[in-house]
Amino acid sequence: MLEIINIVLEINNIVMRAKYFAMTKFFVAAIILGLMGFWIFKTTKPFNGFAYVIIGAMLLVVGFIIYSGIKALKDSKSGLNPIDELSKKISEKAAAASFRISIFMWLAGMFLMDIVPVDSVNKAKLVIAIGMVGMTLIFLFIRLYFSRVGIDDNKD
Amino acid sequence: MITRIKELRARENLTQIDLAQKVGVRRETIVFLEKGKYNPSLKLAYDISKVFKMRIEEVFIME
Repeated sequence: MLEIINIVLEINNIVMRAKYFAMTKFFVAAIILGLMGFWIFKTTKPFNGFAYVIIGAMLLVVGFIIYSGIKALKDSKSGLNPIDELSKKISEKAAAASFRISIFMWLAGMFLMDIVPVDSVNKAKLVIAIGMVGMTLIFLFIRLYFSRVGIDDNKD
Repeated sequence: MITRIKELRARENLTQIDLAQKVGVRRETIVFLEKGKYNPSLKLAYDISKVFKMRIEEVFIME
């Protein structure tokens, strides 16, 4: 009897954690969208090409977050744990890989800014914007790739 | 590493979701374990073996 109660409580605990996890993701997506809306409303118009690229990239990030939130909600409905050991390991591997790749991306960004004629204040802003958005996108794409293909530890 | 999870699951009449619920992971984790594309932690290997009432080395076989 105690064993059954323990299992039921454990499943309930997983469902609650999963719902909280999904809600946090939706909250983060809402904050990003809100800040983007504020920026679009406040900034000088018309936008240049670079601004559209940043808006597109940010929408992609929001899309990723909402997708993973929906997946977490689905998992919680099935009584599954969306933050299990594989998902943690995938996040760790994706973070490590995106860090390695982003070092070269920062360098490429700085090199590109030296070629393109931009004033020094905007140059710094552009490099930081490219770096941050690029790192986020690289992380999300690698994470998506690992969650589709899996982590083959035997190859390491 | 080879796993006998798929075979044992079929014998016990368990779906991937059933097994995932019992050991507290996502269904994808069970999918990758069955394909041999993920090496589980000792705890997860123990939990899965416990579900099938077998020893770890009977479920997970090192080549």
